[in-house]
Amino acid sequence: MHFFINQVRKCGCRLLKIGRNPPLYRNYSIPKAGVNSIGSVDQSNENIQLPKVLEHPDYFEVAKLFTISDLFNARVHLGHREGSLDERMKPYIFGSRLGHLIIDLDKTSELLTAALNFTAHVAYRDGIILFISQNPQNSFMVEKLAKEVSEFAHTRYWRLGMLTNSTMMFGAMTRLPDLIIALNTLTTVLDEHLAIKEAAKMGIPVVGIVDTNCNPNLITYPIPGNDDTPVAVNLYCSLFKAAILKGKQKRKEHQKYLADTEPTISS
Amino acid sequence: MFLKKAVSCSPSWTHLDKIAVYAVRSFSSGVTESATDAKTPAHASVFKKQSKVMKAYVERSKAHNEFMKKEEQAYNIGKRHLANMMGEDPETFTQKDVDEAIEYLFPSGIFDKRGRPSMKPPQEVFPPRKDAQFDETGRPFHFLFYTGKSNFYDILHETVARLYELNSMEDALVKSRKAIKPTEFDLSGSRWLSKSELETLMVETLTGYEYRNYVKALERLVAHSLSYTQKEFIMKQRKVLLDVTKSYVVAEPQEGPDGRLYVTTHECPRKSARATVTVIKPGTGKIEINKQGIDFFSTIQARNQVPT
Repeated sequence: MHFFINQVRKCGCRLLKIGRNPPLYRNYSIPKAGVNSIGSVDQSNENIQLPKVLEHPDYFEVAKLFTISDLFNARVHLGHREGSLDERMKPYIFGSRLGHLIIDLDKTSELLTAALNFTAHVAYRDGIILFISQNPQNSFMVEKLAKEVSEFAHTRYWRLGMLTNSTMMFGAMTRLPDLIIALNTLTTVLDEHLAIKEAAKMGIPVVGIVDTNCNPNLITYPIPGNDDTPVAVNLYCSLFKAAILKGKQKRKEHQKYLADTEPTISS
Repeated sequence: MFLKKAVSCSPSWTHLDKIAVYAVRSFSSGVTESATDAKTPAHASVFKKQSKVMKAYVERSKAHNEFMKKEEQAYNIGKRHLANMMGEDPETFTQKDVDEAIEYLFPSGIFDKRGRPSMKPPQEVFPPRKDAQFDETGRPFHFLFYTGKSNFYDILHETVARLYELNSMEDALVKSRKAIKPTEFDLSGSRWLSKSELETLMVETLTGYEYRNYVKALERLVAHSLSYTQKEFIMKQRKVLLDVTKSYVVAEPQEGPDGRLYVTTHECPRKSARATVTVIKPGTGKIEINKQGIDFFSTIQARNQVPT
């Protein structure tokens, strides 16, 4: 499991480097709605290939969903007081003003793009996405988001073992979520959400908003940003919603295309 | 297979491929049709999934149905035996007859009725189970499934949604400068569902803390000045207490053939005796009992009781 998490994290780091350097663009043609442009027929003429979704650096075009000024207007850059800084958040901090830490939005922007891209890919592959947060002020917003994108939410008290002991907790064998999105990784100002550790144990990737007082180490895709202000949380919600809906939309299109071309596969 | 192909096609694959490949592998725990099956088409691993979870559920439900069928048969045989013992027709032997027969054949001095011997159909003895809560890919139906108490938390979610709705209604009223007249709807004569009633309704066990939160949330909704618009939802969470007081209707006096008013009351009880009493107004002071006077009763005490 640790190997898995390290691998995924390494991938995230590599993404960062590539984000700074000119990206590795190759001549990908993003398929248009037309049937002919979707996929190509391989040499054996038996299997119909879908567009190479995985090879494209930003297939779902999540980078276009937001700008840095959007983040700034939603007060994503506002961190906590200096004294509450978690040392592990230092790389993502721009500086401090009047005793309050300011988060570096350039870094947030890169990491957020990577996280949204991953989320859209998971949604494209029909992964189960679970939103967690234990901030009472924002929990209704999070549940509403989950309902709108027909995914799942858990904003209540986390009973220990919901993931690690799921067969007992749900009374039967249960499919666990494939991605956990934590809109707040803390339960109180000091305690980490129990789901984060459980997800790490079960090898479930976690996308998490980490404020300056959070520990980003167990989060697969950390997004440094303000996790308290409702305006900021609303922005994250709308971004995740857009990314998930894009993934699901593409899935539907490709499924329809496959269904239409099914007879040619069997022949 | 599809993935391998995608990877081998492009020697200089990017980091994103790798991420997604890991992501796909992590899903495969719930997939029985592995991508290594050479006969399946290339995209089956992405689009066609059959989950272990669903397979396990189908097996469990099959076992449960078989068990219930066996119990049902045993119950029917037992019922026929009982009918024969009691010398009645097994075809028309009802559950009520079964209960009576058991009470007769196995008399019990146990005070608590639940402790006494009984014979009930298996559907009543074994509690109902929740149906499958997920589809064939293992994806749950309810958006709060992972809380473990989806029905309960759904009510809390709906309560908050309605509260926000009322707030926006109130804002619109304030903006349009209309006076809000606080209309309270009457909650008397009903009470909140008790913890056990709520638990049976939800098919979930709740803690005392959760139940108190539920009541608090609903009381907050009720306290809103526009809460009367949500009456239907609120009354669903309440139990109406029925009045059990007997109504006492005073009989209307009727006019007799001689122009005098009279009232007749039938079935006036005194121990096992029943009497019909007629009182006439204006009266003469005479008392007639079974065509005799007050001396129909031999004892003084009985005579004193007659006019009262």
